[in-house]
Amino acid sequence: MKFRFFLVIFAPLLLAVVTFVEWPISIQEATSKTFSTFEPNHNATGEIVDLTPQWNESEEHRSNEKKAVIGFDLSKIEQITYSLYIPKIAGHYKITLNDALLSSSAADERGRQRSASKLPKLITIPPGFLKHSNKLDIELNEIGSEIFGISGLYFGPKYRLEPLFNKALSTIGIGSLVAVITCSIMCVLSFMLWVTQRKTSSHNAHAKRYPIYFFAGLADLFLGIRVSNNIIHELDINPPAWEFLTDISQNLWMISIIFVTIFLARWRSKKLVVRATYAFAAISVISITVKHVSSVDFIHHIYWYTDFALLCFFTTYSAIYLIYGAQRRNNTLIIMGAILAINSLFGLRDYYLIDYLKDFKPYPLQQFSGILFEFALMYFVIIRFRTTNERLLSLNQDLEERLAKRENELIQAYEDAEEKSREQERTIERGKILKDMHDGVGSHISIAMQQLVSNTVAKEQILQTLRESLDHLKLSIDSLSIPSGDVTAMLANMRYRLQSRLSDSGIKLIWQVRQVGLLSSIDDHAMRQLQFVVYGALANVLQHAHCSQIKVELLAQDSGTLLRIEDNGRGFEVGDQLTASRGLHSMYERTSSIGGTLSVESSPGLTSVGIFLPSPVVA
Amino acid sequence: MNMNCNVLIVEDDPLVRKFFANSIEFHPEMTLLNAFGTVGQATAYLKANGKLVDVLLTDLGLPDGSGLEVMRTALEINSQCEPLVISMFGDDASVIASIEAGALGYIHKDAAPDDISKAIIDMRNGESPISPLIARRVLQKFRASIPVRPLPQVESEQGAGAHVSSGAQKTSTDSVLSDREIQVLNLIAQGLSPQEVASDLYISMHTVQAHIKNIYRKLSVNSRTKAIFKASKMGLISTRTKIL
Repeated sequence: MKFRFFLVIFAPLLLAVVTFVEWPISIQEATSKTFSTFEPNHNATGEIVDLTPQWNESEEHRSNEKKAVIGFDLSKIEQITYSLYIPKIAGHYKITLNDALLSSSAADERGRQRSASKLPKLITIPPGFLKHSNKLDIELNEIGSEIFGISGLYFGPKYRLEPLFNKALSTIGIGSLVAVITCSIMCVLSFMLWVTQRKTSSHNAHAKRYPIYFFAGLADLFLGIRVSNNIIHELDINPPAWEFLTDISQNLWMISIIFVTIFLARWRSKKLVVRATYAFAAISVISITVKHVSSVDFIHHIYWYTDFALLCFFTTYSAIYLIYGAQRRNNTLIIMGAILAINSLFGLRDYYLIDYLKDFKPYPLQQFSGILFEFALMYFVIIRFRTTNERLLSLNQDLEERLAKRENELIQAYEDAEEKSREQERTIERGKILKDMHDGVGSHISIAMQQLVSNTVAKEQILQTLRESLDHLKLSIDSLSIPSGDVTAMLANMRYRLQSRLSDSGIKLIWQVRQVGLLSSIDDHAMRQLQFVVYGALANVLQHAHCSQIKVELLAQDSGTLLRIEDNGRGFEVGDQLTASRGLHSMYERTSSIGGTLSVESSPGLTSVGIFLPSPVVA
Repeated sequence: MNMNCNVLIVEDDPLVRKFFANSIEFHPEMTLLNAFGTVGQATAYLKANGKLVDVLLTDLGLPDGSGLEVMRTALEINSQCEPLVISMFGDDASVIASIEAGALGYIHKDAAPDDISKAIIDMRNGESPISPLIARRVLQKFRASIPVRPLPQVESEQGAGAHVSSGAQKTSTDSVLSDREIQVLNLIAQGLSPQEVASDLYISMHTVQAHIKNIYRKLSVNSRTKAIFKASKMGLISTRTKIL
């Protein structure tokens, strides 16, 4: 808000100051000045004498050269250094004093006059040049079609003129230098941004660049060329070419910043504005080119009119832009609109004073007001990057939050999966227990009930059936605690459960079971099957063998593990049992289902049931 | 030792309770004090007559609580009381939980009357039943909690019911297993009977039983120690509080 206030209130004031206030200069007006004639009666002492020639415009109408002969008298020549101070001179010049060359613009090896800067000049008059009556000859020649002339000519002691010279030089010279440096930096920066910044991911080679940076770079370039014309002393290029370049830079700079503001306001779809801008660009280029190659007056007049038309377009555009920005309360557009308006005002002022009134004295100010655009551009780039950085930080933070949320979700999902897995395990265990109950307990109880109902079975037999049922139940529950593959633990527990029956039967148990490693291929299901097989073998011995001794061995072999149950009972016919015994048939099936081999050998006095498990042992 | 002992039974199933009661009553060296079916009834009786109870037979699953509560109450009132858990399956999880609560052993619900009285007498004589799975679970528990440090072994044979020799007791801590105890547990885990363990280790059966009893005691102490530590850490008790 404050910046807008500054622009709106202060800028016109600034314009009025630079236009209408004359720079103060301490001079003593010459009592008379003669041009083209020689007056011997002038008296000039240590004061500064204004010797500025006043060319009659009608005399030099469309003249490509200007000449002046200025006479001045010195009543007394002091023993001090005298100088000539020229605030601004444009064109090729040659200054002679009393027919002796004082100063001239440089010429190249072809004899062409080189372009000279517009900076102030302080020409020291060598001792011996001055006389009591002096004649100063000034010749000015046009360069290209640029306005040429001399803004002032002052004679006086060097010590008096030098401060004026330094002040003017610092104002214009340093100002121009700062402007050129700023434009150069911003030009490089803008083009670098144009090259590196793309509208989508940088992985997409066809992603579009930002044209705003391109036109900003062009604007910086053209303004830099324009301002550098003030300070370049000698340029080793064709002077007319340089003049053409500086001429066209002025207009193309205006066109470029119009395009920059079009992109800022997103007016690219407003075809009228865009096409008009392109049209003025084309007209400017053509008119300036024609002006520089033609010496016809009519052509030059067309140039002035097209130049004025461009200026009017620029001014109108600035006003519309400013109003548009104010209506939308968009600070960016308001600032740019104000800068455009200031530049257009300065442009109008320059056109009126320099082009219309042909006043050579004032410096064109639009070239300096253009720096405001550079500063604004710098400000917007900084703001843009700050916004981008903030957005990036915000995106990063958002990403971090989303990642954290996602991580929590994953953790939760993992925990849910774990819980489901545990639930599944519990379900599987329950299933196992139910199956065991069905296979073992359920069937035994059913058998017991059938036995009771049939009333043909002895009480001891029914009790035995019920005990076996309970044993099965206990073994099922124990199996939940026995790790898969730990056959030793299974056998040890089996012994513990059957110990009372073994003790009651008076059978001696020889226990040759030691800890072997876990059998890797024996999972929970296989363990249960093995348990059934071993229980079946031991139950058979307890019920049918009528033995006095049972030996249980567990041997780890290279190719697998061998579990052997031997008794010294009466034995049985293995062949018949294979086909007739449901229990033995079940043992064969269960052993086979777990990848093992059941071998049964029996003879009176020795029955051996061997279960071979070809399973590698895990240490 | 005077084998005449007073037994209190806590069992919710009336048929089983009666079976156990009859088994005790018919034994000449045992006296049945009473038989209850709930934690409340047992606790009330213990508070009035706890000092009389020599042996407590309690089921774990009771209608109004756990048999472990009954055990703790009995031990609080009478530290000389010897609790036994009545277990249907003798599964390692239930048994170890009971032992950690202070039980000295367990009896199967399906045991014969003679076996019931024999189990009580054996326990009174210093024997504690242990299954291979229980031995494995005990080994896991101690390995998981505290590293094992070798201690002087129990060599001398004591009388029935004697504890581990005083030499070992002086130097051993209740939170670690001795080498010998680990050996005993490992052999039991492989299915060896206490006699076979004694034969393997060239020690007596009584010594084996003493080791088992000591292991149970350490299990109980370890459990209590952990509970106290946890309670202390949580600020529930002060470390200066005397634990009865």
